[in-house]
Amino acid sequence: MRYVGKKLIALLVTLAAISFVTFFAFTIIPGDAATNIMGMDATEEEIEALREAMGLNDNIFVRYGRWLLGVLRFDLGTSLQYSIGVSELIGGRLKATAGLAFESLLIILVLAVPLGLLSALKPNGALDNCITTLTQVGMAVPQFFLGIMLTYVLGVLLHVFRMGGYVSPGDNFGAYISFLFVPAITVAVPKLSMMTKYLRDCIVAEKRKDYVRTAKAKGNDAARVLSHHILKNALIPSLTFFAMIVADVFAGSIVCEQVFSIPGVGRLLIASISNRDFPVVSAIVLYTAALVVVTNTLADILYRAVDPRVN
Amino acid sequence: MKKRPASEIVGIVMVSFVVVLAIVGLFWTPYDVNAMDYTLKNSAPSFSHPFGTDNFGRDILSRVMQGASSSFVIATLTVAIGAVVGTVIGALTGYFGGAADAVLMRVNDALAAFPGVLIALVIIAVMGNGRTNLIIALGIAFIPSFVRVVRGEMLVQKELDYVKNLKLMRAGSLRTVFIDILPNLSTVLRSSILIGFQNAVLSEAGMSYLGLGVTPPDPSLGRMLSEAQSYMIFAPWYAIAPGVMILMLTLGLGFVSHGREEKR
Amino acid sequence: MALLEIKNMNISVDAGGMEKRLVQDVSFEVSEGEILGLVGSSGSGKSLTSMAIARILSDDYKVTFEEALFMEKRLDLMSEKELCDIRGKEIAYVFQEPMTSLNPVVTIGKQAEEPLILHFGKTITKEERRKTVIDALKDAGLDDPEGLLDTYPHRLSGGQRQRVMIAMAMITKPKLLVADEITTALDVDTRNRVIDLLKHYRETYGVSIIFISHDRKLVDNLADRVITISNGKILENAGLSDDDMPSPTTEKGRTRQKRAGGLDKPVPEPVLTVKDMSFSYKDKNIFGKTEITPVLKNVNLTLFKGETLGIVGKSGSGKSTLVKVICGLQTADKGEVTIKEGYEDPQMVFQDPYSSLNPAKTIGKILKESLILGLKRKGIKPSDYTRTKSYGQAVMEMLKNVGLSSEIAFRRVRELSGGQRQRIAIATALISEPKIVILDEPVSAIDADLCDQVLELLSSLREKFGLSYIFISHDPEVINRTCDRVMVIEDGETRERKK
Repeated sequence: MRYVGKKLIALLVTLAAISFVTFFAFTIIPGDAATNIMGMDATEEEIEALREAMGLNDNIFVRYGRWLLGVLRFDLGTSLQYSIGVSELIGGRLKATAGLAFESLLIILVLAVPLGLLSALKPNGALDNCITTLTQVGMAVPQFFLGIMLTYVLGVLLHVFRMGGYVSPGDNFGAYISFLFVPAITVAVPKLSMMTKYLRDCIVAEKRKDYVRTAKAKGNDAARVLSHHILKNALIPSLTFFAMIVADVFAGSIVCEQVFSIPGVGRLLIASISNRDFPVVSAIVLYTAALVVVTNTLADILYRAVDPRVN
Repeated sequence: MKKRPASEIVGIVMVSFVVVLAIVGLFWTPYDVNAMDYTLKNSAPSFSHPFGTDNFGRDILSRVMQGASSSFVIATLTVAIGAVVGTVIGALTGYFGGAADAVLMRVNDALAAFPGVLIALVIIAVMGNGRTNLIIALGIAFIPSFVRVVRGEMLVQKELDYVKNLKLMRAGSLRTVFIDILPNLSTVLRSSILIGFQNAVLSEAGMSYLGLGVTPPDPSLGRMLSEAQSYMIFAPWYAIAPGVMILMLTLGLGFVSHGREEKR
Repeated sequence: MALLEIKNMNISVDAGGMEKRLVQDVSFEVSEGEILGLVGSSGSGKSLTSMAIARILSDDYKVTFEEALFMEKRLDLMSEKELCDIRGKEIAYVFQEPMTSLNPVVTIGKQAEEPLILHFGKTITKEERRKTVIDALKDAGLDDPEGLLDTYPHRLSGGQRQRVMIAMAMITKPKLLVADEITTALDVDTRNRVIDLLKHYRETYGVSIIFISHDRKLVDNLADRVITISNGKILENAGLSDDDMPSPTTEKGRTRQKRAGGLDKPVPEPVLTVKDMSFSYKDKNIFGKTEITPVLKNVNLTLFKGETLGIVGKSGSGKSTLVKVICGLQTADKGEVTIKEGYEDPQMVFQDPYSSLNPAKTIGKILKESLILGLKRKGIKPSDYTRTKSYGQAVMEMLKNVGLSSEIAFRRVRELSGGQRQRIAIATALISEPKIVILDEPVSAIDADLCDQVLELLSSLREKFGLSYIFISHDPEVINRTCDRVMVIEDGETRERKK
């Protein structure tokens, strides 16, 4: 319990630090919001007046405080490009990204454990070499190239996938899920490969440990040694690894949304960076950072709960 | 000396192929990379244009060659920044510990939890895009992982008796860290650099694909893929050449580092 | 009637296409209720032999028999499934490493009842199982067996874990217990109790035991019959009758003891004194409160010129900390260390030579660095030193002093044997010409026969360079053989022991 408390305090500190860094980074950029809104033609006086009105002339800590209060109420200002509230804008895009991330994580979870196990059954055997080579390719292939190839093969050659056919879940939930499947595979492949390799290496390493010899000497057959002794030991460290994967999946979806023209948060982020729409960029960065930090904290707490040694 | 596994040899061949193309591309290409020939727009691979031409009629082979060298230079500089800065920070904090170490590690752990691309995106958003900014952004994004690896290894090494022995002989701390301990990290560092290089190539391609890296008209493999995507239906070969080039480089690096891992 | 009969066992591994024989034509038998001792140094193949009996070696090893009979059944012809039924039921194993041999994420209760589940399945109820486990743990001399059921291994000490391992092995009342170096990782007290426990099992259940150890004396003490394995072959197969001859090791030890304590008694001249020294670890917990763990309490000791002062104590008694404080690697809370002028900067020889030498550098470089740092400490200009002899000459001389050839200077640590490494470690300490050397368990990590050579070398170097030693060990026997005076350290307090 004490540990959880400590972790939560650390989480809050980290979040505060991230929020400050984000705010500060986007405040020092030359050309502030007032200049951006008024455009190049405005006179110095007009810009100065707007600055005053927007509170841009206040002390940086005052502005940070005001901004932070806004963040906590999900009020992050207005998008310069779309002229609507940032939260509203992101909220509208969240469905696509969430579905994509969720489907990829599901693919990773469902496939990584059996693949890792199969690979570790006979280290350096034919099956292991085959799976290992596949994971190598999976980790090396650029995501967007994989995406482009998938659209070409499935879309152009086989006509089973329609490019840019994203459907909002409200309109047709089935179509939403099935369209996102191909992009989800694209996002999942590199992380699935990493996870499979990690699990395989964990299991192979565990196999050499002394307790495995003990289990064998007790009369466990190979399958039971694996299922009753090795697996739990190998899955515990994989938990932390999976938490990292969650963050990676989000990063992967940024590129993937671009490839498949999915109107998600990632695409919004890229567009906002190109258009220097900083209220949107800083909001997305902040929420992503929060997601990453919270996921990691959860993983740490969970790790502590399942590993008897660290209690 | 153990036998090199077959996959490592395949890896070396793949990487060498790309490296040779890239080096040649620095000095000579079959055509001028930016020479446009509208009569040859989107033409399929042929004897005079082995990889075909793009939507402006530019020779894809020439552009791939220069794109590869650009990828190579960016990835090398990126990893160099990450490795040098990361090693110095990791070695010093790991060895000396204390309050500075505790604070830096908090920050580093938080940063290391983020995918490198995301950190680079933020930096690009702040500084604007372009080749130099991309190198700086990716370089910074690669620092945390090196800090982590080096610091972790440092913590192990500093508990070994040979380091205690050096303290006993009153060797200076900096000497101990950089002259005595650091050579023992070479194996770990080498594999981190290989993996880092693979990541750097992938990240650079990704950023350029998103339009946040190398600016046109300079050729870049990632950017070529993003242009190729629009012409998928008429000119699928446009995507193949740059895509396979990146894949050969990253997969080759993957095979090499995997082979090294196995040998240990 | 023999319970187990092994005829011509061979074990080999595939070493890069070549078959490497590790165990060659080993034959032996074990009668019912007999304790068979299996002796051999590390790497002799004794563990492989024992694991090959129930065929629990990994697939990397190729095992062949002419015949392996157990309870009149052919072990060598059995399928993996039939073997699984025998393992843990008729033939049980206990291994050397109690710290790692238990599954870290499964409770003691679950692990201990596993043989019952595997071999008796549904024929016994859950309650019966629980009772059997508790009885077995109690039988193995563990306190509070009920409490242990839900405990994880990391909460237990090494001795406790080894008892759990033994209880777990004995829970199915096997016919044969294979005990592979089960006492090596334990301290002397626990070791004796585990030996008594094995005797108790033999008496109570008539179990046959194969007791494997590198420690000849220990095996002689327990076994009915002893066989020795060396380089994968059996050397002798004899009863205890020839044990009346004292072993050469003890003989040599006695003469040295006489020499050390006898003729030329040095005039006691203190070179290093520790006065009323206390040391404790301070850990800040998360609420900022400081938790103090005292390690040393008012320690006093004096080292005289030219003597070897032994410090003996169990692990965790504070002896390593004491050394660190003496060397200045750690600062004491209270008390002081006084070192006579000209005797400053004591150097050390560590327990594990592999870790005490920088693996990235050649031996020559390591020695040279140590020499240069030594000159710097003493404020001698390198040019003044090299006027008399070059660094290279000094390194070669030192190598000769520790009995090594000069070509070793070009090698790295991993290319040397255990004995050579420890000699280099000694050379590294001595090349800067210290007057006091602290030997921290210098022979615990090396084989018994090498141990004598190293001790011999240390005593000759002491005379040659006029050194004073502080010799730290957990092993009273080694201490008795080498030291002039002995301090015992217990719970952070020291007292002098009369010899």
